[in-house]
Amino acid sequence: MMSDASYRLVPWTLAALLFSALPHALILPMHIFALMIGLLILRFIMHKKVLRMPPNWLKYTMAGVCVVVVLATFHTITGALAGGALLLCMATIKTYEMNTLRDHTALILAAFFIVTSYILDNNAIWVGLYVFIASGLCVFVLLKISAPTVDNQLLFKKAKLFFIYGLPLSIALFILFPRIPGPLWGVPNSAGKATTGISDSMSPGMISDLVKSDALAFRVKFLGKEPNRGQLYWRGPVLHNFDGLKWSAFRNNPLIRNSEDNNNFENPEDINYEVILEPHNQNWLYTLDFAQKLPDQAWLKIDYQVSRSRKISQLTRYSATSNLSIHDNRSRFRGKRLLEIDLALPNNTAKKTRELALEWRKKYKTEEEIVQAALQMFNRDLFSYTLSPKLLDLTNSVDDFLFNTKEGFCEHYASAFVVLMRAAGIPSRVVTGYLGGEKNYLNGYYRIKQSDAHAWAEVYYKNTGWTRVDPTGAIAPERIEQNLESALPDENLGGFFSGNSIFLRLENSWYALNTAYFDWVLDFDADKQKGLMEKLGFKNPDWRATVYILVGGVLTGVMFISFLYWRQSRNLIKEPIQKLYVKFLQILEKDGLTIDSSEGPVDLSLRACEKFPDKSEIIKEFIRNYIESRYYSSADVIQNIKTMKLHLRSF
Amino acid sequence: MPSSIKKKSLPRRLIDRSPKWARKRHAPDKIPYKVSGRRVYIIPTRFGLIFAIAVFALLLGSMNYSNGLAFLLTFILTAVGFVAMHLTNSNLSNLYVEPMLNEAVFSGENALLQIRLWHQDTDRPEVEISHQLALANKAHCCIEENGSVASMHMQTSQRGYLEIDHYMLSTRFPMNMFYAWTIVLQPLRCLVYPKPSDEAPEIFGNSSQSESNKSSNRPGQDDFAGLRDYQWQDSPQHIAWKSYASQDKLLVKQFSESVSKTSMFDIDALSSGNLEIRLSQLCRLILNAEENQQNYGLKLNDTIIEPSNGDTHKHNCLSALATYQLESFSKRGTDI
Repeated sequence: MMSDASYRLVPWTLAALLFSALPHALILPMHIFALMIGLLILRFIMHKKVLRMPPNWLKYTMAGVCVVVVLATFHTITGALAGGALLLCMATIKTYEMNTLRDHTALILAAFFIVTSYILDNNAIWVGLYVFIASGLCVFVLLKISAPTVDNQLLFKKAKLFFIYGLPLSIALFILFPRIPGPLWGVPNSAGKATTGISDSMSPGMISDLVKSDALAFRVKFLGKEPNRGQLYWRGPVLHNFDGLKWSAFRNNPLIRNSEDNNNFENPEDINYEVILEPHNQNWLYTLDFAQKLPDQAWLKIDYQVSRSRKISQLTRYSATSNLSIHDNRSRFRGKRLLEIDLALPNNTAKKTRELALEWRKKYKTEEEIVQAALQMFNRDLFSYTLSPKLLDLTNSVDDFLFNTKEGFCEHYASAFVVLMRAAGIPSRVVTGYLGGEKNYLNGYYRIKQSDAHAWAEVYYKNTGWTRVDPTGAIAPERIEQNLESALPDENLGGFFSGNSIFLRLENSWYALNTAYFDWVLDFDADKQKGLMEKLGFKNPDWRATVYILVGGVLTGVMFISFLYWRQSRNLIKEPIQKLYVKFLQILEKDGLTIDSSEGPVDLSLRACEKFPDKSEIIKEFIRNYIESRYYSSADVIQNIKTMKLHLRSF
Repeated sequence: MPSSIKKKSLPRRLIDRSPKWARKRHAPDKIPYKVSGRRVYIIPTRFGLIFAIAVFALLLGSMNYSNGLAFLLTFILTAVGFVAMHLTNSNLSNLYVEPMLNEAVFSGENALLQIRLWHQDTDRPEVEISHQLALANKAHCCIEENGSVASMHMQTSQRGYLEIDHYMLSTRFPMNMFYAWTIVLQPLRCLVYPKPSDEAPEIFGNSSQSESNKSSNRPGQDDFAGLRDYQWQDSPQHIAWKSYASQDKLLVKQFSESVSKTSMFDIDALSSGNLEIRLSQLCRLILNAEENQQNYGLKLNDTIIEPSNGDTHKHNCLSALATYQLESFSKRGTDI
């Protein structure tokens, strides 16, 4: 049977649970979320006694159905997402059984885990704020459960204390608690989560789809020198294999070195930067051409692609160093086989293209001249740059593009250019990645969005090695020097805020806030903790330093608070009645009556009446009230205090 | 009760032992006593432990996923736990307590032991007072701004002073995560009158009204009869504050009633039964006489209380009965 206190708490607990569960609407499949919210609302209706509570067998059946639904949806019950869904289901069913206060506490504890399961999936800034509010609500409901008879006013007071004392404490813990890096039992990949971004293959239309997305790809902050806009080629997957339509990466790309081989040699032309990469569920990291010092745990492949062994499934920060002026001539020493891959073309395709390439090969002596010829052709022959080109003939896409439609996007140009070069006997490859970035002057971070996705080409000169050639530059140089929007003047990319300076500034502040949040909340790891310790004067800090600071800080805090209490209690008069009495004595003393502390109230009042005969009535009333409240249990203390205050005032 | 058969939990045994321990270590406390923070003990409750385990699980999760936000949530909850500990402790430390004058009861009735509590903080903590012998074991008390009164009920079985030399103050508020308690070594006393016997003995002829018809003025409740000097135990309601203003002397208003009969109850006149039965009979006689507004006196060997009537007189007589031949207790009453 449900106790009365438990009954009154039902709306509170339901509200806390519902509030904690709401963000799951964004990650859970709609049918599961709708089921849960429906059940919670139904529970509330039952609380209002419109409907009767379900019998036990129905609850157990519902619990079983929920497990089956979760299993059928996720094919697992572990992992953050499925586990969170299962927990939410179980908690929802449990709300139909809130008989004791213990049931309520169990539900609130579950709510904390439900919130956490959402955090693991998404930790944007609004989620941080939401979690803060949700946990505050949950803590308040816990407070309410612990003292169901106490009125809300007192509880709010106590909650305020929790806030005042708890917030600095939790921040101190957050900063100082030793962080153990890395996963303890492995992070399961969230099933069925699609992310936008560049993939390791490219077919026509891939990048032009991508640039329609305004989503963030990564953020970059340069430390020291910043390169020109036109040099911001962020290298992603390098594509070697072409099947006539689709470009794909070369699987057995040899790794040539890893971050442990970084040398400490500093070149004055080096560009140092830090990247905050949004999760894209791929292995590679984006670096400027060409990476010199690699990010931690990263490997350099022979085509200068930088990768990690684990997929990037959460916001990741890394720092790297690049040198923009060097060439990649490494492959020269690795035998011919690799270069042969970059010469291969599928048979039976691009016949006209091959003919053109052979023609050029006879006509020009050097590789550079052939490259120039191709670029000039793009520039001269009325090629146009557009996001929505005419559909290509899939059986012979390169010929169709070069000799027929003559309109396309960077991917078309890069692809056609590489095919031309290969046909002309020059090893070449397609590089995908991002170009440019938009600087936020508030915090110095460049934002690179999906709409900055780009594809370009690299050709291999016998003398100098791999060199970047961007055929898009021949058609639409604005794309490289400015941005996509200026390269596509008549096509609206749909930037609502674009061009509006106030919105732009607001947007920039928002991004700056986001970055600060990332810096100080999401990415506060062992390294940053160490940096902070060093700033505080610890040399070579390890976890012990944080423990010292933590313990020392807590002790100091406790001592400080105790000192405040002690000082307060030293000159505090104990009881309200006593307080009034002392006040009364003070007034008498001020008016010239000598006060002897050993004197009892009756004797005192006699003397006072002698001295102030005109006020004797008030003095006596006051003393009577005082004696009565202090020594008789039957007295109405509160009423007496009121009258005493009145007397005191009139006195 | 099945719960009493069940073996007590370790914390419960610890808590139950603490009065013994406190008595050994500390002298009886002053009145009023300000609870010393050094004597407040605190242990986590079952919920506190579960909460700690949950927070630890969150910590492991945050570490595993290296999720800063999850860390933050974990530490917010940790801080909640610490603050709860601090607040639970501060409910008791620096609390002021003093025993109150407890109303006498008849043996067999439940005595009401009252304590006044107040706190210098304006927000009102929730505490419970308890003693192993108390009925219902604990009394809940929310301390109001102007102090409040907590009370324990205790069964009485014999006349005399019911006295406990300590009581326990405990609290789980707020959050119910920690249990803090302290042992206050203040005596709580309640005078227990003998249990009135069911029937009054015939020996004093209490039923007859004929013995004396002359009216005499005796202290009573109804009619104002004059003023006399203030004595201890006079009700403050009877103090003549008006004349106090003019005479600088506390006087008490005396009231008189029309009294028709005077009896002297002598314990030696009762022959039947043992001492306790005779005291019970005397008790019944006094109650009856008071009810009939008679004048009555009491003689217990050397102790003689002159005939009179009224509440104070009744109390004096019944107190004499309650403490008669009980040497171990002083007759002081509860001193404040």
